Amino acid sequence: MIEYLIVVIALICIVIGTPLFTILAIITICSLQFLGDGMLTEMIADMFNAVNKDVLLAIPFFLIAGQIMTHGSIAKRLIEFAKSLVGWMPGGLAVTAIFACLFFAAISGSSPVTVIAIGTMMYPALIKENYKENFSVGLLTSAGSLGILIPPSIPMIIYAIVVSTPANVISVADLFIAGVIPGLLIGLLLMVYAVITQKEHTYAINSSFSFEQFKISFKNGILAVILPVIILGGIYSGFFTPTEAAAVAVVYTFIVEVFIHKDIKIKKLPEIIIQSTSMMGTLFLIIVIAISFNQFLALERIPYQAAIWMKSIVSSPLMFLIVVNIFLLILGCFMDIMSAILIVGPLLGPMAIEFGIDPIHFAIIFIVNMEIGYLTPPMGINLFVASSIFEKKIGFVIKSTLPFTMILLFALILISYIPAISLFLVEMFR
Amino acid sequence: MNRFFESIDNFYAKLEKIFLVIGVSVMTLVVFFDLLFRNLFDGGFIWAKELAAFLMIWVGFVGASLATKANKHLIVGIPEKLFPAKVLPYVSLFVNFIVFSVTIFIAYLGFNYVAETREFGETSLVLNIPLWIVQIIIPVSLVIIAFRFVGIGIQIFKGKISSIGAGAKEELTQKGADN
Repeated sequence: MIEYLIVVIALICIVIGTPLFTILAIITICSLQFLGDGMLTEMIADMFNAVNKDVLLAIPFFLIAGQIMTHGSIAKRLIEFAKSLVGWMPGGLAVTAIFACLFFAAISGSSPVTVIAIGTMMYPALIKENYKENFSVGLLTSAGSLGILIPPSIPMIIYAIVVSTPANVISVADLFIAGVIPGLLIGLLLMVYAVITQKEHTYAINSSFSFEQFKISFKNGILAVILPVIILGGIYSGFFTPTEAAAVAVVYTFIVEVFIHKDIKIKKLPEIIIQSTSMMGTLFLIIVIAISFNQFLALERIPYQAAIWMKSIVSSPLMFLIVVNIFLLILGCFMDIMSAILIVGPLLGPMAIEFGIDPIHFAIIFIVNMEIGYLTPPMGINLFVASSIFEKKIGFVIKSTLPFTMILLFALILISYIPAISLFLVEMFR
Repeated sequence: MNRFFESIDNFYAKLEKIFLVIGVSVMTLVVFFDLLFRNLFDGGFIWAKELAAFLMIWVGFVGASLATKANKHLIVGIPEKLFPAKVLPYVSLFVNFIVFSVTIFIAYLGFNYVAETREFGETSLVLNIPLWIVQIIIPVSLVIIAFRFVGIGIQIFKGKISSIGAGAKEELTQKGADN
């Protein structure tokens, strides 16, 4: 009875716009008091002990690295680089946009910011080269959502923190490498779609490959493009842990932006740090409370019970994945990625293990689902951002994004039912 | 009276900002040089992890309270789409009241907990600092967060800001202007 009451209270809190940390705190306090042993100070102990989770440190570091990079003219550099590489071919500018979105989103760690940064620069260029309006809007709105699959990915770190249990530790390093092929696969599918549909009526302005141009833009852009490579390479060569990789990313982006690109002045650095740490602060508060709630769930063996309940309804792993995908897609319409990971991740993760699904594979499925959630109304944040920067009605944006959402759904099916897409690299490096 | 609180708030925010810049810089350098020394000379600093973790708690909670000043806390729902503009401020005020009470309650639990660790005289493993000094930031920040939410409530009442969490959206649109 009380558990239903807690759910109802939480739902009411969500509807009236309560901050997420308060909702989680209410759920945790009520659960401890009425369903647990009533030791409320345990909650504070859990919040404090959360820092024993080493990877938590990676979050502020990656946020700062992203902020430093995006304060410079990285968007322009990425676009120039991609343009010189593929801009000359039919549909090349669309491919350029996808490439730029992919890397910008990976580095900045934010899908909506990618829509703004790449979108404002690429939209006029696409229209100028005769790309259809709805195609351009749809492409720029959706391509940025890829970033959370390419390392460094903050949602992946949070997933690893809250879904790991003592029996099944999910390593951030594994998640990072598992996301690479799915991310590239989706990017590739989008590119193929772009070239097939757009090559007829578009024209490139300089329709030949220029090596000179390539050399210049390569020099300007390469330092940004290789950041994910440095991070993955460092982790997998055993040089550093994901947390240390994040610290390296901060030092690296600092040196690149201040001394090599000279895009930001050292004086601006405190402002960047303050901005990213206050962003971090909102996340941190939520995460430590969520960790405390997870302790309660684990102690009461609730994820296990939920898994048993689930098993009584669906029998095969195949069915389970269908049910979960549908559930997560609906959830993604109403919840942003952080909230979804923190609230339902700890329940679904153990269920998947009960059904014999690899936890890393399941994490990737989860994240691709939430990525689609950036694009689905009524709460897809990319849609709102796109609607305001391209000055189009929200309905137009939704309609334009639809073909791309379909491609993402197709990719989701592939990723769900072919585990090798996610696990191939993980197993190679294990 | 309002002025008075505002100036205290601004002064404290300045302290928070100074701490964040120093804290983050130290945190980064400690982790980075530990890594460097370990790989180059086979000798890292054993205290590096602990120091970084403790700084992390402080940076996290101080960051959270500073984010409250800018009204940037993450909300899940879309109250501005669900409630008519006339009703919205009252809904927001009610939410403010909930946030204030819950936050103060956790802060109270926090002070109890910190008092306990202090009584037992627990110290950290490597650096040997009394743990309560590290932990005290949890309840202190929560109290500040609670009172800053009162500030947000007053601003909503005066019609200066539209709703809770509006700061995060503003930042996003500002970013667009930057690029």
